[in-house]
Order: sequence, then C-alpha cells, then structure tokens
Amino acid sequence: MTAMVPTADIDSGSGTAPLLQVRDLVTSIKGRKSDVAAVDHVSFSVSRGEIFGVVGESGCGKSMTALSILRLIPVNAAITGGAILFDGVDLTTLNERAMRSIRGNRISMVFQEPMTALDPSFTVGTQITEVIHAHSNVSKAEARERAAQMLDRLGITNAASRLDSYPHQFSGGMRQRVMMALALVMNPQLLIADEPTTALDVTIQAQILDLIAELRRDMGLSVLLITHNLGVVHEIADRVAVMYAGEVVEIGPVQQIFANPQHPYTQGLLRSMPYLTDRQDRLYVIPGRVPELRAMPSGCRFAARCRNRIPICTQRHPQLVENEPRHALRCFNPTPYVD
Amino acid sequence: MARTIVYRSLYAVLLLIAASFLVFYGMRLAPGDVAEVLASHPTGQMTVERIREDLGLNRPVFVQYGTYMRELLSGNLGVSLVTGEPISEILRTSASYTLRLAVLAFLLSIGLAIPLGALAAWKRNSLFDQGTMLIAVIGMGIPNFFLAVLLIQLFTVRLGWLPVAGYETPKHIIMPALVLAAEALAINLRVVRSSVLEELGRDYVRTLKAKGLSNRRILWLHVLRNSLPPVIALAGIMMRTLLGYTLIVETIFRWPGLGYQLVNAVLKRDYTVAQTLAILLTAAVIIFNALADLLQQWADPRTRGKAGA
Repeated sequence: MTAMVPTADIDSGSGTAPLLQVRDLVTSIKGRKSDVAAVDHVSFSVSRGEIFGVVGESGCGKSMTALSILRLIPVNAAITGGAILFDGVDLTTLNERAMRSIRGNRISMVFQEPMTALDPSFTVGTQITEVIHAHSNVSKAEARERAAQMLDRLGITNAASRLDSYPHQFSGGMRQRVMMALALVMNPQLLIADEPTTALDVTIQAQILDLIAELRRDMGLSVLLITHNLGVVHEIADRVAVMYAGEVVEIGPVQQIFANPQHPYTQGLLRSMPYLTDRQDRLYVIPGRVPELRAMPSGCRFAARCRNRIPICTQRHPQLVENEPRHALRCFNPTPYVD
Repeated sequence: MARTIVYRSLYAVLLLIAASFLVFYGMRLAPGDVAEVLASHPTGQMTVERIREDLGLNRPVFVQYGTYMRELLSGNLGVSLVTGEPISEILRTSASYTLRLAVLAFLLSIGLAIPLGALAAWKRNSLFDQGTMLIAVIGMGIPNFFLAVLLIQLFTVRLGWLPVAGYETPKHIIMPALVLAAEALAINLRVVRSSVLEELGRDYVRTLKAKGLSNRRILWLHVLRNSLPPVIALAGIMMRTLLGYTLIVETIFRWPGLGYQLVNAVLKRDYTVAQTLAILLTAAVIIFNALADLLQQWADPRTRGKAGA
C-alpha cells in the first residue's frame, strides 16, 4: 500500500461548514489472502445546496463510495478507515438503529435500475407511504396525501389514482420519478443519485436532470451525483471529483475542470467523448486497462496508461495537491490540455 | 382472471373423465374378480357366472363405465360388494379422518418451512442455516415407512409417550401427521430458503434498506411476499403427494381414512368401494392442482388479469 498522507480537504469555498465531509475514506473488500481497498483514502465535501459529481469508469470505486455513506456496502466489504461527517456527526460510528433513522429520512438514495429497484409486488403508494411511516408518526390518510403530493410534484399526472398502480404499470422514466418520490418524500438534506439516468432514453435523461436541478433550487437539496457520464456532470454539477482505481485523481469546480483539465486521465476522458459538432474519424481511446485491485502498482496508478509518464511516476505515489484555488490533482507531470 | 378460471375448470373436467375411466378400467385388469371371491364363500350358493351376470360384470367395460358414472353423478355411490355397507357411509367416516390428517400434515410442513427457511436464508451459512438444511436432507432421504418405524421405536417402545396405532384419542394423530409431513417439510424448507435467498439478492432489497426500513419488515413483508409464488406452486403438488402418501401412512398406523379403506378394498377386490374411493381421491388431486394454479397466478400481480397465462 502507498504512503498514507492525509489528502487535502478541498471544499466549495463557501465558507460555511459543508453538509457532508468524507475524509480519508477507505472501504475494503475482503479477499482470500488479504483485503483490497476499493475506495482508497477518498476525501471530498458537499455543501448545502450543492450538486457534487463523482465520475469515473466502472469499478473505480464511485458506487462503493456512495454506498459507504449510507453504510449499504455488500456483506463482504467494510469501512476500514476515515470518517464520514454528515451535519457534524460521523456516520461510521453510528449504530445500525441510528443509521436506519437517517436512511430515507435525512439522506436518500436513488439507483440506476428503475426497472428492478422497486418491489414488484407492492403498489407504488405502499412503497412511498412506508417511508413516511418508518420515519414519522402520521395517519394512513395523511401519508397517502403526502405521497400523492410528492408524485404530483415530480410530474406524474393523476397522482392520487396512480398510487394504486404497481411498478410494472409505469414506464422507465416514470418509475425513476417514483424512485425519486420515495427518496424525497421525507424532505432529505442530501440525495445520493447513483447513475440515475444511465438506464433511460436521452429525452427522459434530460427531464430527470432538469428535475434534480429544479429540486436543488426549490428545496435547497444537496446532491451527490455518481455517474460515468461527463456530459451529465457538465450539465448540472457545481463541482466534480474524478476517480480512478479507488482514488480521487482530480477535484475542482466543473467549469475549471472542463475548461482546463490537468490530470492526464481527466484529459483522456474528455478526449474520448464524442462530439455532435464535428465528426471525428476515430474516437479517442485511453490505451491499456484499469489495474486490478489486488495488483495495484506502487507508483501512480494511471502511469501504465499515461502519455505524460516520467520516471518518477512508476517509483512514487503522487499525492493530491492543490495547484490553483479549489482545484487539486494527483499528478507529477501535468500538462495543458490539447484537444 | 375469469377466463383463466373457465379454461382451468374445463381442463380439470376433461382430466377427471380420463382419469376416472383409467381407474375403472384398471380395476378390471387386475387378476381375479369379486365374483370368484364371493362364490368361494362357504355359505354361498351361486355360481361365478350367475354372480357376474347379477353384477353386470359380463357386459362391455364401456357400458359398465357409463352406468357407473351415471349413478355416481346422480349421487348414488352404491354399496360395498363384500359387506353391503353403503359407500356413502364408508366415505362419510373415512374422509373426515383423511382430511384431518392431511390438513394437519400440510399446515405443519408449510407452517414450519416458511419461518425456518426464510430465517435460514437470512442467516445463510450460519450454524442455524446448516442445521436446518441438515434436517431437510434427512427428511428427504428417509422413506416415510422407515421414518414411521423409527418414530414408533422412539415414542412408543422407548418413551411410551404415544400409542402405536389407532384413532381413539387426539394423541393418535401425532405420529401419522409427523410422518406424512416430513418429506413435504424437507422439500418446502429448501424451496423457501432458495427462493428467499434469490429475492434477497435483488435490487429492490437495497432500495428498501436505503429507505430506512427495519430488517424485520424487509424480510417478513417484502422479501417473503416475493418469495411465495414458487412455494405456492409447490404447495399444490405437495397436497397431491400428501394424499398419495396417506395410503401408506394410514395403513401403517391403522388410521381409518380413505387410504386405509382403499388399500383394504383393493386387497378384497371390492370393486365398487375401491374405484369410488380412487376416483374421489383423483378428483381431489385435480381440484387441488387447479386451485394451486389459480392461487399462484393471483400471487404475482404481473400475471394477474392475463387471460390464459
């Protein structure tokens, strides 16, 4: 494992205490011989009313980071280091009961698969009202009323009668709205959205993204948006962390990162995006593959695939360093971005 | 749903006609007939031919079947050829015994399998899970007649807690019910466990956790509800198997139910009793299957309301 120097806590610079602070989080997966860190000393913070994006390829640890915050990681994984401060309380120290009272109430999560993430055997009304009943003491009629209002708020017509429909009677986009309704019905402070639009048609994607932006504006919601899609981040996020092989490699405001990406991996991601405006002969592909978790190189994890590689890259592990205000990266040899 | 019920009922009726004919014809294929039994009676005066003519046994089998079914459907079950006792009387006493035994065994197997199987899946690979599955393997491996002997050895011979056979007291039903339930319990345990295990791996379970629901509500309401369709499908088959096993179990424990009466009637070549009991048992099986099918469709909201599905 690499040197454990605390990573810089790069926040939004708003001055007030952030709603969520993830500090040096390590989430390990138990292996036969030894444990491997799927999330390796990850730090970031999300301010009140901020949309914070986390991007990276599949397997980079972004979903595991999200699941760690709600402590919903698989049974073969464990949080082995760091702290997750939510509104001043370290979530990693709470017991299961206290954690349950936060899930769905103060922190909610929506998942990628609107087709399978809802229970097929219960009406959407039951699935929304049971969140209300789990976290507050209200009558059945009142819970139903609130569920209907929430569905209506999220753009489902005839909300009151749709409460009695089953998930399979909704389209994919509508189901994602139902998912959002049951995530937002308790008026949470933080919404964790794990690839919320990946399984949807582009037109529906845009609607859901608009909806998230609108909810942030109207409800003061903070959003942690997990995605592999840079376009989505560019669309609605304020700041973004780019993850590679379990680590944050670049973090900063979205405008800065898109205008002036510093890390060769971020640059590679941007270069490999297709553009509608001019037709490229070939899409750019970052050569090589992500290293295996159990065979992590001791130097820079991206070195083997990097076009800027210099000798030190394979010898020492780079730290996350702030190179301009609120913008940090993990690289020995950054170069300006050339498209 | 209404169309499904109509289709399923029509199918059951056709099946019932075919099955009843096979039973009726099968009885007559067995070597030796009742005429010979009656004629060999020391006080009997009649010849074999005379008896055959009296009973209509010399007529073609289709004619006999037609006559028999007409009488059966008009509610006339006939009398025993051997004792002269009305079959409706035999049925009245023995059916309630079989029903009591089968229902108790069924409730025992389902009632234990659902909570134990679900808990085993929730705590998979724990000692509890392994213990439960060991019981299931043993329950499936031991034939019921052998299990009956083991139980008699333990509870009657060694401990003296339970009577060996008969029907006089409530204690008499315990051993036959246990033996009858054993295999169904073992199979149900495995089906419930694997079905719950499969559901626990689904995406919606993670959503339920993210909603902040208690583990109790997630397992016993949501996951169990979704695990039921295969269990219900199996319950229909289980009820049929249970009815079949009553022949063995009732005979071992001399429990005076339909199975016991049927085995006796077959041994005495008492055609009328044997075929009527056999046909009624077949009818019960077919009806259970149809009900289980309908119940299963109702259990899954996605197939509810689809015609002919």
